[in-house]
Amino acid sequence: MLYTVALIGNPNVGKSVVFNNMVPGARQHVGNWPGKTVDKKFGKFSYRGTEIDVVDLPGTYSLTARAVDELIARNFIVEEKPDIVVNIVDASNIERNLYLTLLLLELNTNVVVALNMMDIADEKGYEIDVENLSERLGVPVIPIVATKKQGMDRLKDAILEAVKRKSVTETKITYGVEIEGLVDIIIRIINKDTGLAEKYPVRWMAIKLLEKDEDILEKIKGSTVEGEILKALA
Amino acid sequence: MSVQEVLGEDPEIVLADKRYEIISEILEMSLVRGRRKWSSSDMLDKVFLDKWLGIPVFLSFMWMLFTFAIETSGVYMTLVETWMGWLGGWFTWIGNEFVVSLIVDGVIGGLGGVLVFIPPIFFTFLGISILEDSGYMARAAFVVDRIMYKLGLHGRSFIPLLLGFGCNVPGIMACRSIEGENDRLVTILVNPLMSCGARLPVYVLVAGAFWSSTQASGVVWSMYLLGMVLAVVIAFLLRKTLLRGEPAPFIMELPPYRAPTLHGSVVHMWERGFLFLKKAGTYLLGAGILVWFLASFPMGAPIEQTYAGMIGHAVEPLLRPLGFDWRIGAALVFGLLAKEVVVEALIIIFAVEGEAAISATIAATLTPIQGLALMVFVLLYVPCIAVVATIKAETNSWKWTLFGPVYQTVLAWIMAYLVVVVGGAVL
Amino acid sequence: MRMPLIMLSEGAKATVIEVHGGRSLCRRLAEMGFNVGDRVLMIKNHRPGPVMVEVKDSRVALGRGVTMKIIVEEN
Repeated sequence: MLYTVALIGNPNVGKSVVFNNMVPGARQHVGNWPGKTVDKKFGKFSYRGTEIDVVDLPGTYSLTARAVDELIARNFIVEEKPDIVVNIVDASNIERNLYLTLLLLELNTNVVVALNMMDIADEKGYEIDVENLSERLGVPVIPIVATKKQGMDRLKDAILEAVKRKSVTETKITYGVEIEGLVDIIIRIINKDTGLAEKYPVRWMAIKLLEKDEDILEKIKGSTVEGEILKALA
Repeated sequence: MSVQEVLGEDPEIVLADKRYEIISEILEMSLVRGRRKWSSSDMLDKVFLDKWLGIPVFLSFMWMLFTFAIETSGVYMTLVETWMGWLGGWFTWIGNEFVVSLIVDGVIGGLGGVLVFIPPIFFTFLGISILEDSGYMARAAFVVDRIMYKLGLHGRSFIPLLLGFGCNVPGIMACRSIEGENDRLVTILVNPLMSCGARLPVYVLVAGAFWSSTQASGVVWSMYLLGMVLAVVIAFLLRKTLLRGEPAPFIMELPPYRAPTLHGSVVHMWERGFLFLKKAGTYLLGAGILVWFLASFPMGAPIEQTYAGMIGHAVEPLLRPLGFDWRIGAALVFGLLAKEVVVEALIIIFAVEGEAAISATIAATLTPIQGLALMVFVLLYVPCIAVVATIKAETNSWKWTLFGPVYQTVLAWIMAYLVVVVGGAVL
Repeated sequence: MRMPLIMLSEGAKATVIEVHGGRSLCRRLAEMGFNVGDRVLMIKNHRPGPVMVEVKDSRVALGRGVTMKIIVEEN
C-alpha cells in the first residue's frame, strides 16, 4: 500500500529541511506543477515497512485563489486528496502560523501538525502545552527540531497512525453562531447537487463562497444549484 | 440575516479576523509567553538596522559574500582546468586525429566549460543561503528598501538581484515572490546586468592578460560595480517609461535570527545550484560540441574559412568601431551559448593551447583599452540562451523576451564604445 | 490619540483601529495579522526607510506607504 503525504507551511518554517530529513537524497525528484513554472519537489521514503510518497507544496501564508502558489497548494489537497497533510508550524511564530492550520482544517483533510523550531520558541520564552493544543485543534501535534533531526521518528509514527485511522478530521473550529448559520444555509444548498458535494469538501466550499472566492465561483458554474447559491449569497 | 449584514463588504477580511480570534482563544489555553527577554535578536536588530550602521554593515556582508565566493572558488577552478587538461591528454591514445579533436576540444571542452564555473556559482549560493538562513537577508532587504524604493523597486527585488551574481537563471526565477507585475518585470529585465559566475572566467582571462594581479582584481570588481550601476539606471528608466506605476506595497516578515546549520545551507544552495545545472548545464554540454563543429568545418579549411570564421566576418563590421576583429566577433557570437564559452572559443579560434598562451595572444592582439571594452561588452551584451529561455518562461511574453536582449546589446555597444573613445582620449 | 501607524515613535505600543486601502492590501495585511484590535509595537521607524513593527509576536517590515493606511490608537 502506497500512501501520499503533502508537506505545507508558511515560508521560512524549515519545510525543505523536514523534506530532506524524510526523503533520502537519491529518492528526491524535482519537476514542474502542470502548466506552471513553479517547481514541484517530491520523493519517496519507507518507514516500518510502509512506502510513503511525499509532495512538497509551495510555501504560503494563506490558501486563496489569488496567488499561483496558493492555488497550486490547495488544488493539490482538494483534487489529489493526499492521505495526510503535514502542516509545518514555526513554534516561535505560532500565532501567525496557525492561520494556515485553520485553513487546512476547513479543507477537511487528515492533518498532522509538526511543531518545528521548538528550540527557538524555547529561547523566546514560549512554553507550549502541546497536548492542549492538539486537543483544541483536534489533530495530532508533534514537536520537532528539524535542523537537529529531533522528533522526526515521532512525526513519522504519527503519520502512519493517522494513515491507518483513515478518518478525516472533523473540525472543531467554528466561526460563531451568525457565520455558522450562513455556512449551514450554503451547505444545505450544495448538498442538493450530490455530484458537486462529492467532488469537494462541502463546508470548505461554503466558506470560500462566502469569501467570494473566484476559483470556487468558477467551479460551481454549471451546477444545478448555481442560481440558488448566488441568490443566497446576494 | 443576510450575508452582507453578517460579513460586511469584504467577507474575507471578516473571516481572517475571526480566524485570528479563534487562534488567540486556543493559544490562551496552550501557550505561556515567558517574560520577554532582551533577546539576541533585539540586539542584532539594533545594530544591523541602525540608521547609520545599517548600510555599512550591509556593505561589509556583501563584500564578505563576494570575497568568499571568488577567493574560495579560484582554487577549485584551477583544479578543474588541470583535471580537464589531464583528461584530454589521456585520450590521445585513440590516435585518430579527428576523433581525438572531437573528444578533447568538443566534449571535454564543453564539460570543462560547465565544471569550471560551478565553483563560483555554488559558493555564491552557499554564501547567500547562509545569510538567508541566519535571518540576515530579510534585514538586508529592509536596509536597502529605501534605496530601492527611490529607484522604483522595493526590498523584495533585492534577493533575486543578488542571486543573479551566481547565475541569472535562479535569479530571474526568484522574481516570482515579487508581487506587483511591473515590479517583477523590471527586476527580471535588469537581472542579467548582475555579473554572473560565468562571466568571471572571461574577466580573469582578459584582465590577467594586461594587468598585474592586484590591478586585475580591481578591474574585475569594477565590472561587477558597473553592472550594478547600470541595473539601477535601467530600472529607473524603465519605471519612468515602459513600466510606470508605484511599486507594490512592501510587506515582509522578518524571521528571528538563528544560527544557520551547514546541512540546511548546503541543501538550500543545492536547490538553487540545481536550477542552474538543469537549465544552463544542458545548453553548455551541447555548446562545446557545436563550437568545435563550427570551427572545424568545412574540414581542413583554415580557421578563417570555417563556419566560425564566416560568422565572425559577418559581425565584424558592427564590432569594428570597438576595435574587435572577426576572431573576437566569432567568440562573442559563441558566447550566446554561455558567456564562459567566449574563453574556449578564443582558444579554438586563435588555435593556441591553454590559458597562458591565450592570455599572451590577447595581450598581443588588443590594446588594454580594447581589452577593457571587451570585458564591458561581455558583461552587458545578450544574456546566454538559458537566461533568454528563462525570461520567456517567466514573463510568458515574446515582447519582453526580445526586448531584454535587444536593449542589452545596444547598451553593451554604447558602453564599450564609450570605453574606447574616452580611453583613447585619456591615454 | 488616533494616528496613522507611520507617526508612532519607536518603542511605542498601539492598537489597530482601522485599515484603509485597496482590497488586496487589506487582505494581505489581514493575513499577516493586522486586524482591528491587534496590538502593535513600533521597533524601527526612521525616514525614509520602511518601518519594523512587532505584531502577534513576530516582526514585519512595512513600506512607509502601507503604514499611512493603518490607523492606530496609541496606548
